[in-house]
Amino acid sequence: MNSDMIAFIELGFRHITDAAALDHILFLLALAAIYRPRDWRQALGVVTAFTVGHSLSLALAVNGTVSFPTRWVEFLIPLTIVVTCVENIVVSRSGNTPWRRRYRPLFSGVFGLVHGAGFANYLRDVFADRIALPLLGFNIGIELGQVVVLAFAALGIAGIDYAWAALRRGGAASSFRVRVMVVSSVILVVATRWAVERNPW
Amino acid sequence: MVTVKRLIRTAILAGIVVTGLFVPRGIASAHPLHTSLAEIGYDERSGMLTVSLRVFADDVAKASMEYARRISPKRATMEEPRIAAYALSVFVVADRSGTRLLLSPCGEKHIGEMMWLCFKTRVASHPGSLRVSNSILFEKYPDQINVVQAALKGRKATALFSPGDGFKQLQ
Repeated sequence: MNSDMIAFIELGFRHITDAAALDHILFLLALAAIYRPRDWRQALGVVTAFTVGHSLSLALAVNGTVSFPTRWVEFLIPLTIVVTCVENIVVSRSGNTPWRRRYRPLFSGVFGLVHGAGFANYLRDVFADRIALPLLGFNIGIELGQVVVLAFAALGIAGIDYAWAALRRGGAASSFRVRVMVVSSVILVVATRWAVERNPW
Repeated sequence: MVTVKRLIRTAILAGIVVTGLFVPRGIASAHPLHTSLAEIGYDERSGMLTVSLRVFADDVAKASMEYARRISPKRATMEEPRIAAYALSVFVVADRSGTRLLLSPCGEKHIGEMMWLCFKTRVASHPGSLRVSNSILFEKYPDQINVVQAALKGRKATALFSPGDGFKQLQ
């Protein structure tokens, strides 16, 4: 692999794993919050849908097919997090899983479109006339970064489950519900604040 | 038992609200890609080494203003020499032996949100490799990553610079 490709992979990886990318990280965390180790197939489907949506909008925006207004995109990103958290909380509280949550990959794909648009504008501006290699490398780096973020998220979530189960001795079902509620509520409050602060009006 | 349950619920709720309220404001801002791109080329016929530096115009304008205020308050109002002077203070090219090449400005243009800056210098012979340092905008953004590409003797080499990096060899 040439140094160009490695450099752009590194750029994407560092971009998504930086603390300043907390909006993307929290979205991934909100997506992952409702899954247990045995649900890994569903989790993989949702994350893959997010990746497809995100790559699609990045490619479309960067090659100039579509143009996304930055202020709106930056407002919509926290909104996607809010919607994901609300869905987590509502479904978890009701105890029902409508359509076995098979709509989640679709939601995730659509929300991925919004997140991809988030940095497409910047990428296009910087690498205006030689976009193919930077786009490919950057996207691979983003995906690798997401895998790392999700691995840490899975560890954190397992830690919450374990701590709650040890504290309450309420069984796996109880700790799972508490985990979904706590993780989703924290992220919901943070994302709501971002949405208010980034409102485009 | 009911009181303990309520207490735990209240504590969790309070924790959630406090977390939301105390997320630093800077993190809540949008997440732009803090990056720049520099391309270094060498023309054998003219013996000129050229640097094309692309950087976000508003960021470099602010950074150069702060730089000019530190160096010379009188020059702080003249934008063009100010930006070039700032760029040359943070973008350094040296030859293989470590001798700094004296770059001089050769123009600038705005394209969209970007500013493209041109610098050049004459070198005696083909620089097979270069030592480069690029810390543009590091003082403004801790997540700034500067990409430097060099095309030398038919080979392309790329290096990334982030805060804390010094010189890197491109060959």
